[in-house]
Amino acid sequence: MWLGHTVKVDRAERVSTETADRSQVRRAVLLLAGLLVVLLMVAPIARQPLSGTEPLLPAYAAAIFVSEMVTVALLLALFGVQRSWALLALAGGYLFSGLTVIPWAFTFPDVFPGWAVGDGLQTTASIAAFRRLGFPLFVLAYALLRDRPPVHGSASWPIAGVIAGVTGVALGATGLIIVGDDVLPRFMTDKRNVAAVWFVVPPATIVLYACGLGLLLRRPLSVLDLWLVVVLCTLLIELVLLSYVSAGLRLGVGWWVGRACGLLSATIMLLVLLLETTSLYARLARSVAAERRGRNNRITTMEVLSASIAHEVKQPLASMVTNADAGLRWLAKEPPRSDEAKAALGRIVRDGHRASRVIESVRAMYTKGSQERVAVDLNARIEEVVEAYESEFRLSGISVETDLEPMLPLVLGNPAQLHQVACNLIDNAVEAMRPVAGRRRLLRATSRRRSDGEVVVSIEDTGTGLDPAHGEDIFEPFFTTKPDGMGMGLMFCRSVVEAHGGRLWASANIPHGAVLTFSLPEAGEEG
Amino acid sequence: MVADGVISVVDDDEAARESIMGLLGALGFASAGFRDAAALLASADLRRTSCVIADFRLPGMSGLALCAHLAECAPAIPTILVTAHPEELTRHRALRAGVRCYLQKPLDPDLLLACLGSVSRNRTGGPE
Repeated sequence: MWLGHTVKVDRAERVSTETADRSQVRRAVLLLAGLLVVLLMVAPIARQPLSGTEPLLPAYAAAIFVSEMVTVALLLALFGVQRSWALLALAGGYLFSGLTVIPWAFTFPDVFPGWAVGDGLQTTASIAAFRRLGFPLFVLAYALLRDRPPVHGSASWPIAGVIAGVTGVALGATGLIIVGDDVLPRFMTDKRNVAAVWFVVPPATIVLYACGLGLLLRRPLSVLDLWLVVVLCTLLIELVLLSYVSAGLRLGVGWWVGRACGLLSATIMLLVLLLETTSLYARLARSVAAERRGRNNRITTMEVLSASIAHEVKQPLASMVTNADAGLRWLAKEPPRSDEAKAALGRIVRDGHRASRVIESVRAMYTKGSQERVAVDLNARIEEVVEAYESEFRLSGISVETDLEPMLPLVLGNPAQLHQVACNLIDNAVEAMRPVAGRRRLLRATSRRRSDGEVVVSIEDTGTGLDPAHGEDIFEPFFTTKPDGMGMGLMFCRSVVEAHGGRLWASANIPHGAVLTFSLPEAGEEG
Repeated sequence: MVADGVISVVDDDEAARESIMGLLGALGFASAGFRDAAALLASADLRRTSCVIADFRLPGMSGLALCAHLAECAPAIPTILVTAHPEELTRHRALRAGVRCYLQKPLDPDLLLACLGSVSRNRTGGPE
């Protein structure tokens, strides 16, 4: 129903703001567990050298470079939407990582033999250390910048700044490393084995990873946070494989498995962003369609409703005018018939009240606060309404029975609307019994608690009953079999009940009449 | 003459029915009220009915169908249709079906009087 209609379209930020759900966490944990198993399996054979694998290295570096560059593009696009500094920092990190993998591969010993550039023994290791220590710094920046307010104004300048800055630093630093091979720390003893100095780098990196993980895990993880945690963990596993399990030996089994981990790490973010973007588009398309449908429904409902309100108000107004005309004519007689004029005025008063009831029920439905929910005691409401209708019952010769379950659970709802629902249902029952002659006119109100956590209220009458041919029509705003009162009463009741998460239905009363029943969820369920 | 008999008012809205009967009373006519066509047709008052004022939208048999039915009675009973929501198309249909007047609620007393007058003239000049 249109009352409870809320469609969220503004979810373009989902990947970096929405909290990761359980299934995503489970997937991440499974992935890491699998990698740990791989790590344990590789450990015994990690130090076996795999000779002649140098040609694979350029392909590996190219794969890393491409996937990290695409990741940069996606992150920057996301930044363009969200303007979050944290995203900009992360994009910078991937740019840095992607740019430094190229000189690393170029300078790798025996990969491009005969190249004059960067064949210094320490160059590759220094670039690797620079790259390895650099990336987690960007992740730290991401974690720290998450709470910063978004960038105002144009997104192009920050993007250009980050690209220029990171490119400058990455290329400048690797250039310096290549040129200044002589002054670099002695990381390598020969082309394949690392020196003792190298073993400063892994612990320092691990400390940075740990800091990054600590900062990220400080608060509930967004989807992006979660997968960044996974990225850091895979990098950690890579590092353990490279530096400890294979003891720094290059191009061995452990080293290559570590590199595979690195490649996985570089593609995780890409895959997550692509998947999230695709599903975001699907969701967006769906919610736009739903919104359009909802708007159409609302317009139709509003048209039907305003026509129905117009009709409901016009009936008593027309009667009032006719009664007033009659009254004027009685008074204009010679001598004036004040008794008849008085009767006409009495009818005007009654019709005026009826018109005001129509307006009141519309007001109860649409005024501000109609969505407010408080704990409501339905038994008390029913007793209140039954009491208010006492004179009506007496005048119409209706006897009333109430069968209310003691200790009925409260429901969450809008008291004014639920009151109006009870009024309308009783109105309906009274009207249905008005033409009845020759049998007892009995109205019975019952309340029950059901085992499925619902409270059920029924209003039974011994009136004219339901015509099976009408079926659900009785809930339509224009449906009329009623001599008097609220033509749109039942539609109103159903709207309200459904907006409260309940249902309203009609059934036959045995042997005569109808039962209108509504159910509402207990308040306890949602607290 | 209309005034000789009873004017039967058929309207499912009790307040509307009473208001029309009240006005008829002030205009000097005797009237009887019915909530639907079936109630009128089953009533003993039908034989005394000189004219029927029916709401267009009635539960069960519609005002238009009631008019067609009454036109076939012997003697034929003239019908005045009233509605809160007048439409040109319905007016044409109603007048073609033999309805004497198609009036809008709230009723204009002078129009109603004129209408009752014309019904009465037609009736007295009729085949009976």
